[in-house]
Amino acid sequence: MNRSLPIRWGLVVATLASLALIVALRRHEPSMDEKTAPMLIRGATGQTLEARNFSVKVGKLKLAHAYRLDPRTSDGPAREVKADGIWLSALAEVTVTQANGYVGAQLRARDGRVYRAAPADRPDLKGFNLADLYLVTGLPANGAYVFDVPIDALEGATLQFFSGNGAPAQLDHLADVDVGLDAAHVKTLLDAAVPMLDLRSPERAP
Amino acid sequence: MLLAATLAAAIVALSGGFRRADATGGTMPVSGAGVPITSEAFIVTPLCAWSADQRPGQLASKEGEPRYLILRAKVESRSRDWLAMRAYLDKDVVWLPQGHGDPVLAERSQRADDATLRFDLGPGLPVLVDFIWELPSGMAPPATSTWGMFKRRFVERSHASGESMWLQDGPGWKFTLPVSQDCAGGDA
Repeated sequence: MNRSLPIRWGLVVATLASLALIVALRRHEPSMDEKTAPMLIRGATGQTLEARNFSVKVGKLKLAHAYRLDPRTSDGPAREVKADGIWLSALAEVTVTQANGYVGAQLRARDGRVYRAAPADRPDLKGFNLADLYLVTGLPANGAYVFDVPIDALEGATLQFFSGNGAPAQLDHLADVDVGLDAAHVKTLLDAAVPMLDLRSPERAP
Repeated sequence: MLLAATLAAAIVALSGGFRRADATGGTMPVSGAGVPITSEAFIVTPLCAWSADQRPGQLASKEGEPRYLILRAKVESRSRDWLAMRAYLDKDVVWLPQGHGDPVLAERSQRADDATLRFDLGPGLPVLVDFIWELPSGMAPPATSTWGMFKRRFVERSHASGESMWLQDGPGWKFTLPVSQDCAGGDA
């Protein structure tokens, strides 16, 4: 008995079209990074930005090529901490609003390069470097975030703030602050940048 | 991400790590001091190596403490982001005590200028890094030593999770340096 099944061309075409559609949709679906990306909220220097668990207000910026810091021991020499690029410090006031913890920061260059704020170990500014400062709910902290960045990353960069002192959490707020780093502002800051900024405590500075 | 990293580590282990080149029929470039090695993730320029009774920045060694082997290198990240690049670097630069075979991860790495342990590798910012290994007890400091560097590649969308990630991609390069008692000129 020789019975051949008829080829149902309509079904074959529909199957192939469905497969092609599935492949095309898979290729164009948002990546996991895009689906779980932090949610940007935007602001500018001098504004208080309210995120899920913190608020932040950024103030004055300053550049320096190196910092002079207090010695590690009482009779030791002052330490000089050089930047690999240039130090950018940003005065800020941060408050955690729901739970005690940290507020981290990073600088995002216009071309997408991202630099995390320097940890409290370097430069160690004893409570002034906000990057690793444990914050208590409702109590504002004033200090600075410090970034070691290449000079060519400054123009057009924004500062970004997030909960925690690791990396920005997925699906949480990322506060993006326009600090006005246009060409003219960068030039002004570079002209004012000192080779060595003295950040020793007042009793140790001459 | 953890699954992919474990899988990558297993593949490297199964491939025999930094096997003798003639055993695999392949050739692995062997360079020396001052020659930049460029992976997709890093540019690493080995500068010098030395052995010492204490780690750089350590105030004093105590009696009976081990000797250390230190490799100083200039490191630059080629990633767009600081995230995790430091941890990847510590997995990619390895010591090959026999000049081939199983790689040994550094006990620690630290900045060469002030021995800071906690630092990031920002995109395009060269940093001088000291990689430190504790010499096995009874092992005399070698006159020369060999290190290796793994390849690493960026995957935009991994099959496992759909997330982007940097994957270690097998042994890539070897370099041999004399091991001296100090590192004069190694801060360039």
